Amino acid sequence: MKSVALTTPLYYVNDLPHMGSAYPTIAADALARFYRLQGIPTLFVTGCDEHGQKIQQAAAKFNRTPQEHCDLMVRGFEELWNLLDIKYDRFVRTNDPRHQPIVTEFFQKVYDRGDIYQGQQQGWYCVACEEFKEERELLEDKRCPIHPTVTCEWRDETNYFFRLSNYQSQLEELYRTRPDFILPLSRRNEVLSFVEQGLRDFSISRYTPWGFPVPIDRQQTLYVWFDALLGYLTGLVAPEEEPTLANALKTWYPINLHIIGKDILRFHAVYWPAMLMSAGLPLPDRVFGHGFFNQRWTENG
Amino acid sequence: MGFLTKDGLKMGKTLGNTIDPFALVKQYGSDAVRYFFLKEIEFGRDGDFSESRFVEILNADLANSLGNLLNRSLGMIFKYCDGKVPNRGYDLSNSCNQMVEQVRQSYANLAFQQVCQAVLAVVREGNKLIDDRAPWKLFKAGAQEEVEQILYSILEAMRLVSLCLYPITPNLSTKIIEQLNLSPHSTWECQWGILVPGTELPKPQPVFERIEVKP
Ligand SMILES: [Zn+2]
Repeated sequence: MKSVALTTPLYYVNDLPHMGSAYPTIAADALARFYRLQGIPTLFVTGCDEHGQKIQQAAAKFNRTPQEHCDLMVRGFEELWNLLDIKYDRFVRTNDPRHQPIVTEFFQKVYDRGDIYQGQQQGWYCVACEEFKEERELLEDKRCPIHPTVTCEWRDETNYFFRLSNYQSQLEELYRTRPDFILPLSRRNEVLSFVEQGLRDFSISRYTPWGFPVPIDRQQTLYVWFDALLGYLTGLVAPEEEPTLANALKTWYPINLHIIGKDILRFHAVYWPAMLMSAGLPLPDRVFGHGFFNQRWTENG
Repeated sequence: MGFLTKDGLKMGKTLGNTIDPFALVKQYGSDAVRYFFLKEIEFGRDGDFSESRFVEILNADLANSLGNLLNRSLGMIFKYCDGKVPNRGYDLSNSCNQMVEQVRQSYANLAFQQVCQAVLAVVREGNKLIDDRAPWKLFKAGAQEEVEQILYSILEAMRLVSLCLYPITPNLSTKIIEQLNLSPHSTWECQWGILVPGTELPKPQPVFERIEVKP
């Protein structure tokens, strides 16, 4: 291996880091230290995902502006990484002005490919998930199955969509020809069965102020996941360099490993490679989905 | 993200009652937290966290097995070898070669649990070597050369153990390497026999303190 670029998720800053954020970060740090010991040039990217309505709500709850809230939470992440001896090379913040030109450039590539169109989005939206839910998944009183305290909101709006459905066969081909693209095997199977059901286009814009404007429509902002995934590219740009897509791609790209939690598997193993295919970029080598832990306070659990 | 569960009940972060990583690392230190989560849970699978298990694992692996092996062998070095690295021995060299290879592959596969298991196997073998060969008896019987070979083997194995664990427990590994009067790990120096006989060693210090739980 001539070099290694690896990432943790970019953690959502609605709250201070919890053990579920520390876990993959510890693993990524151990790997980065191992590769450095082997004498392999290594880039360890971590950071925070700062956009979306959930951040705005969290900020409002504490009477802060979204920016103040993000700055405060980011400080918490940095403090924990310091306490845990995490030696990262880059810390990406998706609200960094350096991130925006890369998002805009990437959006343009996907747009030029014809993969972005306007459509009507209707459905129940969980702000905590930042995702539309199928009505049949919801609990009583339209509460989110993952966030039982959150009541989903009915949304009916004109959004921009990404033509994920265009990439059905290319993604299937990817999983078939590169069986270790998604690890471990249990995660791969999960993705295969999801993709098998047929991919639907997903909305990549929202009417919320806290985010980057859609380059072709300033009324809306980009869906938090669309710009968060692109944070991995911004993390590859050296701090002294111009934040352009070309600079992001020239040294460390493609990324060798994304370490993620199994809850964000779909975004990394389906949406992300499809977005990269659309932009005509090479894909990462591997997406590794770690598990979760049960927490037991008592002796016998 | 909300995925920590308690007694099988799905708990969202909003429902509270999750492990506070700040509190955990401040109480037990970063090596302890890093080691526990990478050793106890196979990376890629679900696992369990309980504070009692946490304390149990750290005491068993790092304080009792590893820390104790280093400490007792350094103690004997000061008793029988004038506090210096003794003449070379090769008792654990095959096991260490296997460990190093296994550890290298395991890291590349993100199998951190296997890294720890490979390391612990050598630590156990080192403790067994001392128990079986009883250097204090050999010393009394005048078998100085044999005593030195055994103790050299333990020290060199500890050097390699600390190298293999460095990505997971950087502070602990650095403390071990300082006890061997070497500079901190910066390259994968995995061949047997790096310790130079005759090198003076610093006074033994515990590298990982046993965690005492208040009743
Ligand atoms: Zn939700």
